[in-house]
Amino acid sequence: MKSYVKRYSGGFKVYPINDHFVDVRSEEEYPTEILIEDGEIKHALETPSSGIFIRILKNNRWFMTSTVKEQNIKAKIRELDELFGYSHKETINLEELLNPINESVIKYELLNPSKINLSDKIDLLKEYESVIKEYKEIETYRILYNDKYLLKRIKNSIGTDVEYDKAICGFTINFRMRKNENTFFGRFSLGNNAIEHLKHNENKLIEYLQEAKEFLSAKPIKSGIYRTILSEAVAGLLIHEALGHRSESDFIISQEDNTIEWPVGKRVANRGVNIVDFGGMPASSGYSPFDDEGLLARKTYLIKDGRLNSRLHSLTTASQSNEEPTGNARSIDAEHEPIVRMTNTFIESGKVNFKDMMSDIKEGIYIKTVDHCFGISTYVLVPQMAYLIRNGKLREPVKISSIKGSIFKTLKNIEDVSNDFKLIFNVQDGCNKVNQKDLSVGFGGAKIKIKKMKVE
Amino acid sequence: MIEKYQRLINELVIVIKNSDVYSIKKSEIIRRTVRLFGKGKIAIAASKGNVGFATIIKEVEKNIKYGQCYNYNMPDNSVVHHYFTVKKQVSSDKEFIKFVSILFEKIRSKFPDYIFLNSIKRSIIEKNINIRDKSDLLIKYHIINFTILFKHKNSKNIFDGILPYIKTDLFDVDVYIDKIGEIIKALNNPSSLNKFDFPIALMNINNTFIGKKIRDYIVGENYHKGSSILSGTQSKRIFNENINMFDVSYYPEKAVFNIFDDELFIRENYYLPIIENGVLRNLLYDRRTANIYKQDPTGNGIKPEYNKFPQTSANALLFRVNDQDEIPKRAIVPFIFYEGNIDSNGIFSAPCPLAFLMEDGKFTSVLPQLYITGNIFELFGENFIGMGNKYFADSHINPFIYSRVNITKLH
Repeated sequence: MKSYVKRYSGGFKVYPINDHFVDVRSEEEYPTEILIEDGEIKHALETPSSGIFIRILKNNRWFMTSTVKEQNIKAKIRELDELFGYSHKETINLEELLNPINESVIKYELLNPSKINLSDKIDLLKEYESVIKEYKEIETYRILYNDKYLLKRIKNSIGTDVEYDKAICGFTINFRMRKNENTFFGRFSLGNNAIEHLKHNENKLIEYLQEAKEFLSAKPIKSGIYRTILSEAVAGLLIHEALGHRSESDFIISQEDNTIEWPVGKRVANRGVNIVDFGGMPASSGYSPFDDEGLLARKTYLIKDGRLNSRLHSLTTASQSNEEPTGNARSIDAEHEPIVRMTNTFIESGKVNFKDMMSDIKEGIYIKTVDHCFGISTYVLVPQMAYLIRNGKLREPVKISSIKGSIFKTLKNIEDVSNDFKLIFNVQDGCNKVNQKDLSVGFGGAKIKIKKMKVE
Repeated sequence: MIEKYQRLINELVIVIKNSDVYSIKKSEIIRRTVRLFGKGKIAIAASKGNVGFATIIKEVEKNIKYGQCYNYNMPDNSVVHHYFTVKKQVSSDKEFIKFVSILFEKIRSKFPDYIFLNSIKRSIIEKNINIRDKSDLLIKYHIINFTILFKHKNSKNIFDGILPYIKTDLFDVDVYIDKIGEIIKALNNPSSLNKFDFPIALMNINNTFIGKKIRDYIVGENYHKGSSILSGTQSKRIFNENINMFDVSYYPEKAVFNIFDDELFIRENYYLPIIENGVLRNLLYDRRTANIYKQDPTGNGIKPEYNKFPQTSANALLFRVNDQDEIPKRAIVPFIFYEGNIDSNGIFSAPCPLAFLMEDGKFTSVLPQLYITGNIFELFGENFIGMGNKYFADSHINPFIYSRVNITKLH
């Protein structure tokens, strides 16, 4: 690892100050980014950094700051304690929610990508680039590679001391294909914990490119209502955007809202529909065995057997809602405070295989990949690769400009959940929320079949 | 040649929840980047926090073989020193916290049925770029982002309204509160309209997805590579002949501060004409792309992040009209219009989760969630009506821009 970033000893002690709760999080990260565009290396850089984030809870308000030096921690805590603050009306009571945890989960040192030379990473990308260059239809392309090794340690004045590490690496190839006047914008991604697993997958890229070529002659589909099957990636992204963010408790402000917005137990989907958030899955992009408040990752059912089950919480929102914390307080780096975020959000596997899902569809759509999806509750989905289903079988590729809908209506219309499972390892496209952008998350799970979706 | 880039951001962030101060965060982080120019390549290395330039320079020397090729001129031998300090005095931390606390006391008292939330951020930013014995440019400025979200305490939405508000100093709280009042009054008056045959009035076009896309389309490299919908139209009339559009690099009253770009280019004219009388005149280039496409750099070489190479990025777009039709008395204002899709023919579609009916320049009622479609070339072409003289917020660069599109209910 880069020696010029000062490693933290982790030996700092954390005590309450004037009976106020204190927590301290130290982070070291070793990211690499390589960008190749149309045959040219645009940049190849490693930008390691380290930092320490400090919070105190005083009179029901959080006071926060950051520093880069361990020896400054004590002084920074005192500075925060001296900042102006009268009492906030809403009580935040952490004692009942916290038990001290002492644990170390360091398991990715051997996979640390920052130990591998830049030149080896560039060579890896050039193997894939040589495949791209074989395709005359590809007018322009862009290969973006990212990796990161991360070390975090969280300590608080109640006695918690946890640390963990994480390694992620992956690349995305964006390209534009053209045949005469028809164009297709494609996107191929690979991600993993270990660089070794990114190697020798050129056949997957070839398969994707062959499929992309078919979309050059895809015809637009007639707008209307269709029975639709969403692939794992598309279903996962839709759930993340349209349901997951809505489940983040800091969007829901008061206890009244909780009752109106998220009445636990309300049926919103058919039996057998289970949607989960869980940061404890190793080999996932949303891996977070402890959140940034030092809580153990927990498998949280947002929807259990078709009923609203739980929200996602930080310590503060859990205290304000009189609910259990769920270990979802995360931040993008040591300059930012933890807020409620998802980790890996997915649809648990069901019982039906893909072939049987299609079997009773006379005319419908299978959406395999998506260009983007936006909206909370009300969403707009822009498909990238979609196929017509006719008489129970996948037919020709089709062009769909957009699909819009309401997440709660869509959930109610889920007819089947497939028996497979795929979690997308997402390195380039992180989750954005307020001013904290590009947080690593995972999404996916099973395919879902929806009775009706409105195609524009 | 070694270029040293340093950006210091001193921030005080006050998070508002339940209409009151929830947390206060202070931070001061230095970001440093070094670019090394040598042997026809530029290498880059960067770090933030505790690592000084001497250490980063050692790292960058190792990266030169992976550097980006370059074949253009950096600042010539004339020595240039410029130091721009936009405003010397800023409020102290305590003054600022007190200002925010008092403001929200007034807001709670005036709007007891509404809940307010978001982060209020005061940033003091200092950017310095230095090439030894050649150039040393520094600018220091501050920005306060007072954008606030709010909802009725019984509302089922995540939020009902938003007031975007960016200033360069503390401000008159009554003006701020009046703006909130105008929006809340409209929220309390849901419209019964089922048809939406009104013109659209785009508020602060730079913040809409249309404005963001236009900023991409006028990037020279995108144009020449064919990925812009404007590709092939330079010197042709693409918009209404009354429309003029500028790329503005420095407009301190409106919080635009790129007086020099991240390649040490100082524009002679802060207002670069892009469209004149509807004709596409100029595109934007950084030094690298200017060299590739045999154009002059336009001072638009901006780092997307501190540790990246500068790339062409538009500043703020400013619209001016020569002549126009009469501004309609009623129009639909898409208030949240940040995400949408535009295809290669300029056809766009976007959900609009929050929109208001505006009558005689005031928001009078809130509309249901809308779905807006149209064509960029028609929006600024045959359907273009004109620009009002009213700005929703005085930090907006453009007043309302009126045109015609297709508007339906979202669902």
